[in-house]
Amino acid sequence: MADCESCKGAFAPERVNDKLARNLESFFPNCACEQFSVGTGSPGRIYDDEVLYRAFVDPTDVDPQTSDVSHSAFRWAHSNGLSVFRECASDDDVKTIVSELLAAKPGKPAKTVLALFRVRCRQIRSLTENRIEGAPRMFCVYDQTVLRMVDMGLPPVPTHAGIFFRHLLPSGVVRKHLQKDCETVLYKVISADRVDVAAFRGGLIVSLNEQSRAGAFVLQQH
Amino acid sequence: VTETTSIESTIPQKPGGTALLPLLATGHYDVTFAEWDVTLRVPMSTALNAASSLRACSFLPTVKDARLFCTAAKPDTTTNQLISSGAQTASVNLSFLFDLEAPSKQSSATEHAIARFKTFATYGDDWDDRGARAPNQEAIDGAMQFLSNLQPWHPAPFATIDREGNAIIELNDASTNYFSSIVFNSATHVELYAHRGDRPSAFFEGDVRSNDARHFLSVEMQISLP
Repeated sequence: MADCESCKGAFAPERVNDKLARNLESFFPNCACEQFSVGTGSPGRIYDDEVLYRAFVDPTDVDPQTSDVSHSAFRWAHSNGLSVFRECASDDDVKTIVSELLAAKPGKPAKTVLALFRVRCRQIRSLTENRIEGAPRMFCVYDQTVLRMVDMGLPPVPTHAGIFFRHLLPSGVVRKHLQKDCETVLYKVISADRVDVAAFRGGLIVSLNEQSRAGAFVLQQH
Repeated sequence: VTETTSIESTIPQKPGGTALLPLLATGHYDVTFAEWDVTLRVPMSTALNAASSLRACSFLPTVKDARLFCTAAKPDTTTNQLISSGAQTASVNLSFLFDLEAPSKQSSATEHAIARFKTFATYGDDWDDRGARAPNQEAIDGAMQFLSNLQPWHPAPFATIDREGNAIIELNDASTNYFSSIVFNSATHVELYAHRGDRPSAFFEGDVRSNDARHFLSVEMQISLP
């Protein structure tokens, strides 16, 4: 039975792992927790009209030379959630979220935002698994917040969100096949609206990229 | 450089039927209907020196130096309607797009994919600073070798790796709503995936040298292994 507290507990840091998406579907099927706000300090649950952004920093996900994005870049949705940030995020929130993405361990090459995409929440929530009777939804979108990697003592960024695949298994479909379907569907919907990184919020991300190249986002060793 | 031409012929009957299509004097084309999509097979015997037995699907035909590189076509809407209403024969227009630069573009794209794999091969554990495994060198070698099987009609390959150390080749053609991928878990163990238009996607996991894998590669990806 989904209630606010149990839903918040499902996203507790100790429960965040590669099986989070599957566990959510097991314990809170049908996106039951979407009716509650689950994030720490979140401005509230995510409404269908909200716009969400996803940034990619890894050259394995986006080819810096061609700007092509990989389908497998969306794999997080079927494991521990595809991180996105909300349109209502303040510039400070965006700075924090993006600088976390750019954080690299000492001695590693600096990361930069290679691509930024925009999608309306409704587009994700309206995707359905047509191989199952009743065509249930394929994804849930929660106002999930996550622990910071850089300033671990600070509270989570409240305008973070997560997209989770539901792992519904149509008859005759194995899990790896299903996960590929998940990536393919998300790729089509999210990669359709690429945002000009240079123009986004007056060059905010360009500035962060420059700071990253200058070594500003180096993870401390623990 | 592109140009367009079209052919017209009488074709069968019902979904799943086949007919010869006298497209060119030097060869013939088997046309098969399945779910209203046309499949073309170009026989090796054709004097056009087609690289192999090809199936049309979502790929564009390319021609260079009198060599025919694959074909892609669907019957027009009128044909679909005629067939679905039970007509015995129908005339179909198949449109072909010839891309004279496709072979050189594919060669360049393949070289770029190999260069990316070579870069990834230098990655160690935790290459993403989030705990990813180092790429499996045998998997990368297998993927790089596999790239040589791609032909000019294939979409430009996207080379990548995942956090489990697998090497991945993705073939994406947004213009025709086609996507396929080959995940190398090792030099020979693969996961094959293909998605085309509104059709159900297809998946195979096993030895890339097996008959089942070869069949999948041929039918779903138009790839013939040596």
